[in-house]
Amino acid sequence: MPRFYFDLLDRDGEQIDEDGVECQDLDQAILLARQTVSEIAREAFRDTEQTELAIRIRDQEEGPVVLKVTLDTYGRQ
Amino acid sequence: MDDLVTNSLETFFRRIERRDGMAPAERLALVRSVSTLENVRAGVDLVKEGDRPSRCTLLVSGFTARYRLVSSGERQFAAIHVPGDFIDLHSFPLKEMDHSVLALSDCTLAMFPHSNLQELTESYPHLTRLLWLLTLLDSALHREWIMCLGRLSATARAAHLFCELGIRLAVVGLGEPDNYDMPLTQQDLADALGVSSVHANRVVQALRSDGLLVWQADRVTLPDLARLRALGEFDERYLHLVREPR
Repeated sequence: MPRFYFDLLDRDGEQIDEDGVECQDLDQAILLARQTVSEIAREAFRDTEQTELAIRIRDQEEGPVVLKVTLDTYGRQ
Repeated sequence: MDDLVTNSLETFFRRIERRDGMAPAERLALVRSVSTLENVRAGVDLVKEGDRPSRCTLLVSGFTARYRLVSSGERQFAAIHVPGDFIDLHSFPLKEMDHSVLALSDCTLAMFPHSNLQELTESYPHLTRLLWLLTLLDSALHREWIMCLGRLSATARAAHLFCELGIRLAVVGLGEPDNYDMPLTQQDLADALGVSSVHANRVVQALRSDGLLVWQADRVTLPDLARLRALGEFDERYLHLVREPR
């Protein structure tokens, strides 16, 4: 199975995933990234003042694919 | 056979004697209640949800996890067992298993037929209370995990788990609270923390880069235990490590 790498992008910059995870294909990697970005957003939006973060999926052949989630604060910070 | 079993139960005796003394006759009664020692490979389910086991299983060496599956196929661990733990002592009175137990590594097991436990509980009241205590320790651990899963961040949950395993292993003489061997995979850690494998991986990298965790091959070292405990809101009260009459 190909190994995919999942970098986290937020206001502090990029956290590069050096270990990666084996996935069947890009579709499964996207599913995993969706789950992960929602888990991390839940904590980041609650515990810090972040309003936006994204996961970038990399592998040797395809990508990168970027999944971004945003917390809409209606203009208030 | 008795000597071999006595040696196999050494971690179990240490676990009990951290909480209360045991008379030689009680130790012997436990040793004589073991029918067989068995070996299983990593990845095997030792008991399955819906099973009606005729014996209770004590973990002699290796690691196992108590888990439930959900319809998506994801697993959630409810506890990780270390040597000296009964994996299903509750199957004696409960009869039917409401969850499964998975071998996370190759394991050696000591089998206690329910009929032997029945005789033992009818002859040894103090020993019976100690067995009761063990199931209460299980439920105390589950309460702690519920708090972690419900209220702590994934990073704090991981910190809590690394603190917990260190203390539980040290109690039975396997390593130190800040330095021990543990065969968990990244997916195992994800299933313990209730997060995706990618998230578990990220949590490990965060603890590493923060100087709180060194995890190479199966060796875990916790360079700053005080800071890790604070991060994981870890307090070992729920492990009930006080030796007193039970």
